[in-house]
Amino acid sequence: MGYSEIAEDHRTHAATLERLLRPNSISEDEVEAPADAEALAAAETAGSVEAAESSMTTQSDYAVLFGEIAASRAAHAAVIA
Amino acid sequence: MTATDDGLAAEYAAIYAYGAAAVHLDGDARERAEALDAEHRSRRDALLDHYAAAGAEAPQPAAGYDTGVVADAAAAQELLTSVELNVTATWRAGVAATDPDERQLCLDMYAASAVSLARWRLAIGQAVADPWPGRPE
Repeated sequence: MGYSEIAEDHRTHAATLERLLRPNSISEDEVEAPADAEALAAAETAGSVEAAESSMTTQSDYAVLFGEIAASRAAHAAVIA
Repeated sequence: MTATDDGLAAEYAAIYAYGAAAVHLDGDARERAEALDAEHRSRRDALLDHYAAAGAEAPQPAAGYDTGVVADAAAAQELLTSVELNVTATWRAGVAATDPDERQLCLDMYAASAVSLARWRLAIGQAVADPWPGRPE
């Protein structure tokens, strides 16, 4: 699996969340890229857990959206590892 | 039918399909199919434990499922891709459940099924990335 494919998934997630949040927005903070595949898999796992927690604490429509992000990132972590 | 009932039914159908398809595969695809078959059986068993713990009666599997004609590796791959997509889509739908316990169960199963789908796609050389696993097109 190419990292560019994973990045494209994240861009799709971000664009969707940004659209739903309008007119509010979240500033883009500079974050350091994971150092290696192991770090990237760990970041994907952490992101999946965070999205799953959001899914559990929101309304049904958004629960599915956050669930999708959690599932997508869990799949990223599995194939990177 | 609850979302959990639907998910268990999808897992039953997947186990049946792997039984029909895996024999036509070899190499990495066969190895992965056998591993995924075991995962579906594990999920089924966990779900049956869930019903037992709740004192509820679990739905039973059908006597058979329509798998179409599976005569070669290409047909087997197509069937198993369809099965993995169906399982993932079924658990995804369950995440909309309003009962928190059921939502949590469906969420856990949905993540596990998205991982299975990705691993299967990787084994047969398909694109793995998917921002919305199981979302209807």
